[in-house]
Amino acid sequence: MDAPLFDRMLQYRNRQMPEAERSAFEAQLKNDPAFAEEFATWAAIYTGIQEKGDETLDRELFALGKKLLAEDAEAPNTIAPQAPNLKARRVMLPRWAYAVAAFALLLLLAWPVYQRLNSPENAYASAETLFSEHFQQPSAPVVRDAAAEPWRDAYTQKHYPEAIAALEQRLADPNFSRRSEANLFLGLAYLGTKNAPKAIAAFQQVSPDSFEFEDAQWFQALALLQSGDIHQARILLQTIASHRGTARQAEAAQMLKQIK
Amino acid sequence: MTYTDDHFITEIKHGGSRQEQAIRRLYEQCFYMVRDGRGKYAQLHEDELISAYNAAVIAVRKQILNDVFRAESALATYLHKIFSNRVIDMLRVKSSNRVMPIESAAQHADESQDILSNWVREEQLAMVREKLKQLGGVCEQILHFSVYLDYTAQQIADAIGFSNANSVNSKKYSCLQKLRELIL
Repeated sequence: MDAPLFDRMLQYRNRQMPEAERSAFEAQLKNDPAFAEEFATWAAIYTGIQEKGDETLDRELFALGKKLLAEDAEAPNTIAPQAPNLKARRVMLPRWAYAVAAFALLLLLAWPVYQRLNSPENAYASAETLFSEHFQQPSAPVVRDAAAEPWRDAYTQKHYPEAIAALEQRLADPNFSRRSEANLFLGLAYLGTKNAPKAIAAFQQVSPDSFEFEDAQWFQALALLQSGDIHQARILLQTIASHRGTARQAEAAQMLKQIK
Repeated sequence: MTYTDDHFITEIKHGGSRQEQAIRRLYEQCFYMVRDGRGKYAQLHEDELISAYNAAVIAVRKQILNDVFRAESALATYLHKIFSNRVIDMLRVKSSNRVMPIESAAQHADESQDILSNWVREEQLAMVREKLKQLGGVCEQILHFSVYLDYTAQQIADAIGFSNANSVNSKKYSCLQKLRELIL
């Protein structure tokens, strides 16, 4: 293989070779050790150039990142004259007022929890209790570049029925590509309306190859708890707890200990 | 002005200066991840956050070019997931809790999709890394523009002052041959 054939290797890599030529190329790679050796050499050269390119790009982006942060740091200086006034206004409140406000807030938050802990139902550490202890409605994905999606706004504002309608409409379109993300948030919206069976059905539609799958499994386990299906919830939690290094592993293991 | 995922994907795949511009725009458009990260991951220095973000942008670029990005989620969501995983790895290393790094689906895909990676021997690649440094300015520039950034020969001629596309092509192949001879 000589240097112009470097381009053939790239055609092969980029799947730009006609089928017949590709088959012949692969046959030669398989049957001609010298050709395969040359191919490996050019593959190493290509990979080395890519790695070096990544390093160069990394350096350029690092400089850009530092510049952007420096610009951020300069930006507040334009409104700096207002800052001392705000600070002065803030310190005018006496410290005891903060303490009283904090205590009142703590009391307000703690009282319902205290009452719940003392209720006779709690003695059973029910699946419902586990659900409410571990379920936190996640926010809609942070997307600042894509076109506005009605479901995202509805979901953010906790208008779950509207979010469900919008998501189901998107999913009804066979050409819609972000199905995993949509099914994850459809399930979450259903959980927001306390419709666990529908939520479970939606989570089950999330593709195992997608980024959303890990979250879908977690929320499906919680939905199963909400619906009272402890057996299936336990099986799913065991799966999550067995995946080392995942975000939910420790929490799933802890829940398994809590399930009666 | 904000740009759509389709814009970024088309421009990055186009290569050349359009790719460079799209990478820069994508970087700036999603840089809020670093800004937000400064409050969220206070244990990390801003340089570390930038490094994690750079790694995520470079990984996304590669996945778009390798057709691995399947647009199942928005580009920003995908980028954010890779960025978060890198940040979590950094936090784990910092806390001396050296657990195996999270192997994201993106990283798996990244490695498995390039058919050349099965052919590359580490000792030969190490040799390429070393010899690339010896190649010298013009070769380095031409290979970077052509092989990494996918500039056309004419664009390279315009960028680095060659008389025409043919002379760029002939220089490119002589640089490749020289590199090959250096590593054998």
